[in-house]
Amino acid sequence: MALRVALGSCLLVPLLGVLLLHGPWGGAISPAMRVAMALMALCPSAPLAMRTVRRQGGDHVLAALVQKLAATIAMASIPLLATFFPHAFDRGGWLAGQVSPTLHTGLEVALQVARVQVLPLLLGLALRRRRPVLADRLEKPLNQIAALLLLLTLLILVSASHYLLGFLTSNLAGLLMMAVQVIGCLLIGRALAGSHGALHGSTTALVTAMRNAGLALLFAYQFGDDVYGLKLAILLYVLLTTMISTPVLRLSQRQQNDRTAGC
Amino acid sequence: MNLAIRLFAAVTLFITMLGLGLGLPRDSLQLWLR
Repeated sequence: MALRVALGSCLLVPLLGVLLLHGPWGGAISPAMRVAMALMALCPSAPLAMRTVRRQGGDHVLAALVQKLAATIAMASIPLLATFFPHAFDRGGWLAGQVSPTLHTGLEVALQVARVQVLPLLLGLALRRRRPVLADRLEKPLNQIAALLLLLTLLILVSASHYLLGFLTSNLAGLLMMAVQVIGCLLIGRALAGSHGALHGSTTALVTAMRNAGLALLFAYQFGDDVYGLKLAILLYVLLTTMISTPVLRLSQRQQNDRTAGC
Repeated sequence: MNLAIRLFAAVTLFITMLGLGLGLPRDSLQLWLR
């Protein structure tokens, strides 16, 4: 099941992004919201999803497996999808760069994903397997440093965004589209649990809906510096994901508990 | 400035993923395809 959910997160969610961005409303939203939606659809497996799943009482081991697989598949899926759907994901050469040949930059993107996602994940796994005591000692401080750095990144971005209110009011249609994408991701994730939906549905929905904003921001800094408001749009997507998925999953968890109590 | 922010974002992501890997159960490799 983990493989099915990871594949869905890497392929079905980007296809949902293609459908939305090519739909009748796709052309009506600002370039920043468009590119943010495309990037978030492309980048699966938010590193924080495992902790969120654990906090919400879901199966965090399954969440971790999905993330591990999705991080590996993303090395191939991100450059491939950008190549096959250039209008949705690449703004006619945006991700692949304006001058470099597609294959070269496809490899560059794959290497970027490998460097910042797969390599540290494998390093952590190897340490956990070979030096469990050291892994125990490092885990907590490393996670604290990561949380601090993430918070610092958010603070820098928010403090740099003096135009937040104006941006929000002029991008209401884009926000609505983002909300539709988040709900679509939750539904895809729920459906991917298949017959295990009652037990694992909320876990698979959450890991599918939570996208890797860190990777999306990295791509935004690398390739989308000319898109006004792009980083802010990515942050808004993260905020919308939290705002929508939290109540939906609480409700689903409550229904599951009721069912268990009824049995 | 842009390079510094990119580096900062990359380091943040690297540390986050390293922490994730460290936090996974020891036998999780065997559960990959369950």
